[in-house]
Amino acid sequence: MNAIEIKGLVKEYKGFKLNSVDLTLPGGCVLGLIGENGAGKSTLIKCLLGIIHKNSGSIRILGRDADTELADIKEDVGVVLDDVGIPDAFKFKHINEVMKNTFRNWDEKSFEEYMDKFSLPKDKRFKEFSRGMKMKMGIAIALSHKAKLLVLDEATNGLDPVVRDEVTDIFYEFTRDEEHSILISSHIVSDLEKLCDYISFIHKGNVLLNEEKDVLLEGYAIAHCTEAEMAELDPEAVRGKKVSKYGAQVLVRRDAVPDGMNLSPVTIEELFIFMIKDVG
Amino acid sequence: MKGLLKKDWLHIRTSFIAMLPYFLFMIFMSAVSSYSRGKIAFIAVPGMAMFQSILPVVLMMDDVRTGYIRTAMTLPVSRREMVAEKYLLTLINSAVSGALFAAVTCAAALLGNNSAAQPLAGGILIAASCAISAAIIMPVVYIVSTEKIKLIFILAYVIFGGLYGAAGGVAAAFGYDLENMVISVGTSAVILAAALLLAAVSCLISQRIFKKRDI
Repeated sequence: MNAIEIKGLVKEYKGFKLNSVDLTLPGGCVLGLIGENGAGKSTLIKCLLGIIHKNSGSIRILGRDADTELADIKEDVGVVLDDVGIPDAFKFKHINEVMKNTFRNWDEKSFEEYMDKFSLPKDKRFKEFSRGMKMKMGIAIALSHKAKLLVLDEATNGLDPVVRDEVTDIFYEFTRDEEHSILISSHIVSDLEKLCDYISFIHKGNVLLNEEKDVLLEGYAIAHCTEAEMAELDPEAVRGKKVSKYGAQVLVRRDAVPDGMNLSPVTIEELFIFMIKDVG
Repeated sequence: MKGLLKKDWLHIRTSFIAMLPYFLFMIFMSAVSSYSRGKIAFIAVPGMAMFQSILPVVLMMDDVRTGYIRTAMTLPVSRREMVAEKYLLTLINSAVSGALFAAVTCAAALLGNNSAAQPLAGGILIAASCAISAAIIMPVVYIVSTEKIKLIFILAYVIFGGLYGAAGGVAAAFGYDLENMVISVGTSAVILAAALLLAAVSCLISQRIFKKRDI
């Protein structure tokens, strides 16, 4: 079963359009949504969660129709948005009390363990938390009700590299269960590269690419050549280029370039930058 | 729904406890009046109702300010439940305020060997007024953009205050004494029933409005 199936999703604002997005997250996998600021990542996630209304398209989450069953579906979905909103005066015990009365499967013990794991103070008010602590609190809540799907919108923002790494490991651990899936958006591509099975590039409201990470890394490479050599390449093989006075770097499909060409492996970040520049 | 109510209750306890002394002061003053005269000053009714109906609106404003409204949208609750919870909170608040007011002032009236009818009618009217104020304000709060809630909120209370003042002026001009006005328990109960009906209609309207809004 697919964890998320989005078909023909359209959301139009003044000056921005999420343009007929198709996206599938297979069950048990991690899909990374990569895009620059304003590309439409958060809009897509907000549509998915019903925070904003879509203009058209269909969304299925965990095999169920989001238009009719969204509230119930959310029992199985853990969400961390880019800004965690909790009343200022709330402490650990208040948040625990609210969530206990909200989620059928709320696990107090697990919540307390995450509080300890993230070194979050139990006697401090939420307004006294730093941004990093607030994000960690959001992650602790999302992980404490036995969710099958995590939806993370820039959830590692504001965390220092050490904690980001720790949190990435926790997400990785989460996906060891075959039923668990993650949709994660970020512009910190290195986090996604570590974690994701599938990568989706979103640019100006369009999905440029939706592919398995390993297929991307194996299928593409960077060719280092002169401008003349670049001109001879099959246009079908070229997905992006950077030209400087020292030569050219070309993002190419490995299977479409001549043997013996000077190729180096590509990272997801490079792949993204090349493609964005190519599309303009 | 239970989680939303729990959140608002804890929110009131942790952030709005400062409202309690005003509420208790109004009850105390009315209790003194009931003890000595068997009547309550009817100015206490709109005074307390306006104050009590602030509560759900203030909570909604705070949900927007802290971003909790977006958090709530990620929880397993529907938009209909989110709106219904605020109305339920209003009704609980109205009932508790009215009951507390009636209990204390009736006891005071009986202690002073006076009739408890007027204090009881006052308690019922407080509950009714809370429900009416909220029924009028809340759809407006759901219609306007979240940034403008504060402005609408202030405007609503200026208008309510103005209307009450104007009503007092008109009543005085025609020789009615609002301070000594007598309203029967039966009339109060009818007003309460009408207020509850209005609140139910208002809730349906708010749910329709909120269903269509982007957060």
